[in-house]
Amino acid sequence: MNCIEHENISGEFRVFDVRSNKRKHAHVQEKYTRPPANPPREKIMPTDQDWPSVWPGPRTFHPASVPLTVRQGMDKNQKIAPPSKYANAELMKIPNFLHLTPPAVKRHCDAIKKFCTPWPNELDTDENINKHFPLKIITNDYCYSSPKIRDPKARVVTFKFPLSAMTLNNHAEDKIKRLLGERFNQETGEVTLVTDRCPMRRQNYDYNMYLLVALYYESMNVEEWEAEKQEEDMEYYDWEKNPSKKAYIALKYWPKPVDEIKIDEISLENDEKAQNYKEAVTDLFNKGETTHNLFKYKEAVLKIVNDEFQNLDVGNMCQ
Amino acid sequence: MSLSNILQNTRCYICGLNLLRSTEAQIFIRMCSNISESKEIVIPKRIPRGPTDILKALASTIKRDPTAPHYKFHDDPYLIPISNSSKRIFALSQESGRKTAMWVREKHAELFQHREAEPPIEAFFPKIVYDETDDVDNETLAKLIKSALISDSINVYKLMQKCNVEISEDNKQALLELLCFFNETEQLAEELIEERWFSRDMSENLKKTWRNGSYAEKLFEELPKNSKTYSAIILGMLKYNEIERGYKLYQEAINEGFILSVNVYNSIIKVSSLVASLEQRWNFITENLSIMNEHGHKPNLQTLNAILFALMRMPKKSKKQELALNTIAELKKFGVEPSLGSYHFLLLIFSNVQDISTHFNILSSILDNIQGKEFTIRDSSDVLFFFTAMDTCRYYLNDINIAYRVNELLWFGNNYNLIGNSIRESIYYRNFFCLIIQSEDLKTIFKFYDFYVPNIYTPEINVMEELIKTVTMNGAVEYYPKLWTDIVLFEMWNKQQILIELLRGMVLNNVSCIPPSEISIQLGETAWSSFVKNEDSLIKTKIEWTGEMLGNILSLCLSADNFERAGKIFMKLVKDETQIIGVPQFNTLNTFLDACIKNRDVKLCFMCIEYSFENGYDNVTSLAKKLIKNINLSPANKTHLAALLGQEIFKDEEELNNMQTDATI
Repeated sequence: MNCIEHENISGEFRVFDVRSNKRKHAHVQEKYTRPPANPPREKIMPTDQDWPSVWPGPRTFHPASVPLTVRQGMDKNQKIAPPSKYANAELMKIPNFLHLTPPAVKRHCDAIKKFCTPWPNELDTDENINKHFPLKIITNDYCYSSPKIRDPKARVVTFKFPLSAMTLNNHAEDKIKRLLGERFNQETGEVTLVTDRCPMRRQNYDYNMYLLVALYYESMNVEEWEAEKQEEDMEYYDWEKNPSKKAYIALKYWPKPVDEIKIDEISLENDEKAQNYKEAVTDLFNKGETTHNLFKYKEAVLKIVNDEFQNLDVGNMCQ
Repeated sequence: MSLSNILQNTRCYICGLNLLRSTEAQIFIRMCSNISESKEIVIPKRIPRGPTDILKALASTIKRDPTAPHYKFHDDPYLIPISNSSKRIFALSQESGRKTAMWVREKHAELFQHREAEPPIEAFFPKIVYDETDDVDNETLAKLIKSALISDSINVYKLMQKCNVEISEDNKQALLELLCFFNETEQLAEELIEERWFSRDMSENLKKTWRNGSYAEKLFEELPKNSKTYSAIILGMLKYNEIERGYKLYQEAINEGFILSVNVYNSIIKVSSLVASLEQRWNFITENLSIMNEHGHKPNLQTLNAILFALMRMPKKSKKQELALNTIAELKKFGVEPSLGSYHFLLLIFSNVQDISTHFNILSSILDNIQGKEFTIRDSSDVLFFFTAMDTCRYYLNDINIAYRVNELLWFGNNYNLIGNSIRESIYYRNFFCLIIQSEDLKTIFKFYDFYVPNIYTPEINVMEELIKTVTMNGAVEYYPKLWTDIVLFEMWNKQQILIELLRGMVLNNVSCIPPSEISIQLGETAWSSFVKNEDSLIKTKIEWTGEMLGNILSLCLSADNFERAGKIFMKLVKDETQIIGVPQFNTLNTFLDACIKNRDVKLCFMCIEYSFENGYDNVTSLAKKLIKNINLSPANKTHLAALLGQEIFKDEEELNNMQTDATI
């Protein structure tokens, strides 16, 4: 064995280093040199390649895989052209739709066509659809890139339907509108029921169904206290029950005192003028004071007044 | 949550009256009752589909993109592996990271008690360790057996015995089957696909690996003897090549009148070459088939493949080809359709036939049968077919058209899944490419080369060598620079035979002219970079330069009109004279001397002459004379030259001088 003496001599005696031998011949590790990176593959892409196969799904932009000379961003002083695609963070930030080229979309559609059924011929128009299928049930699904696949918002179930699709009499319609409150859209006549109180979608759906049934039958019920409804509680103007009718009758049967006439018993079905007047007044109250309504009212009133005055013996009165 | 990518899908059902329950339906008016009665709305039934059917349909629209790396690699120039070794390293490193993560999770289970996922993923749960304090029951055991956790199952089984818990018969049988199937060795986790893909285990293992006296055997002794237990233990023994004992047990079971499972008979037929003698072998097979028949089993695909496997092992001179074809025909009557594995065996059975036409017929008729069909794996031997078929194409048929048909079948549908593993894949392509290189013209070769290389296949050294030879033969100089770039990327730049072929080819096809043509300059550049790359590299096993190679580089540099580089190469020749085998051609040195003279480099001229003198060229004097003729040498140089080659070389010159002086006089 070669025992090599250490060159550093400490103190009187030379130090005998057993390991030095080993250290001297320490294994020099071979250095791995990485082969050079290959050129970006956009350079070797043939022009007739199948692009949907190259970019099959949503992905962050990568300059070496996209054979387009796109540019993004701009120079502060606007003196040079916008930066090229290489090492361009701007291009990576924006979402791209390179996977949804028209041919790709067409191919996807063709591929999933076999799972689709034909649309029923009878339901050719929106009108028909709404007629036959009045109830819309709306739910949301959420898809995350996180370990959890659940989302609390997915439990919400919304029902939408036009109130006109329900078999309701006048009383029931009035009552259901009161029950629905703001869930009923006055303008479109649509009812929207949203439930999210139960943890599961299915439960919310069932609850919504229950609500639907409950609302309907509750509105059909007539409670005792409903008879106590006053004129102030009325949700619309009813000419038959209002002083306007009384005034008209008073005019019609003049000079018979009004108190002697039983107003409720008198039917004005055949009286054309009365019907016109009734419509005009009702519209004025229920639909608002529009120019048209006011004009109609004026016409109706004038007609009554003119006719009534003609019928009276004006000369007698003058005397 | 803000980081996560949220996709929202609003679903809106339009609910028809007929979908609601009767009470709810009453609520809505049948508005157009007249219409709906006359024209009933028929809503078609929903087409049933699985949870991933849509995804699969969408995936079917996508083909393999040859310019992209395999999807397991990152699609980035710096991270795409090109050479075979880097492909292996990259994929296995990634998997190694995965394994490390699994190890950490197992080692420090206490740190991973949180349940991040919803619904929880069972595979991410910390591993449960069973000991005596645990309550173990049949349910736990059944669950462990089902998830194929071998040591845990044995542990729990022992624990249950210790605690005197009654173990159900089903569980005992299941445990026996598990132990026999895996030979009591823990399996590679299912998610480690890369390790399997790159495994180098090619040969069929014929060594006995069955564990004698294992727990499976003990369990077998404990359990009551019936056909199920016998089947399990025999199958295990045969699978791990404990044939003698397995066969003994088989006979025992048959004698006792047990009806074994169909797999047992198949396995016995498969090992017939190790049980029965040469003459008896076919009889042995038919006997077993009749026993099967007596026991009421119908043959299945595994029976067919077992028979074909046994026939493959039969000696050359037997009538095995005929028997094999008869077997396939016979089993077709039972409705057994041969799988790709059966064809693989059939090809091997016919591989000993001398007559090429039979060979051609068998492969082409197989292809006629299966062309344009999509296959799924039905037998473990199915993955061998493409490999064997291409092998037959190259070594027996030498027919490129059949090879194209095989390749077409491989790329059809999802058949590529049956390529086997990485080794089989590269041998398949090696054979394919060798055939193409042999039989096609250069344009077609490079069409295939550009498609498959480097992402699908990286050529091996001998394939590359063949390719260079073909390019040389065709005199297609323009391909050399591209080939050299690829050689560097494939990490083959330090391979002797590649460099020799490349340099030889370049010199052969190079046409030097003045001024140098563009292609000459490129070739010179290529040659120089091959020299520099090898000289500068730090790897230990350096290339052994030969005189011819350096001479070729020298002449290429000269024809590219780069005297400086040529000088450097020549210095290398002189400096490492003792280590370099062989010498360059005389022509090369001649051209180099011309260049030296042209550049007035007297020192190099002398070195060139000295070098040629030392290496014993015949025409050294002609070199010297050329030098004397073209350059006025100093007296010192003259004496040097005279010392080397003798005074005679100046004779001509002296005569010339004398004549000149005479003339002047």
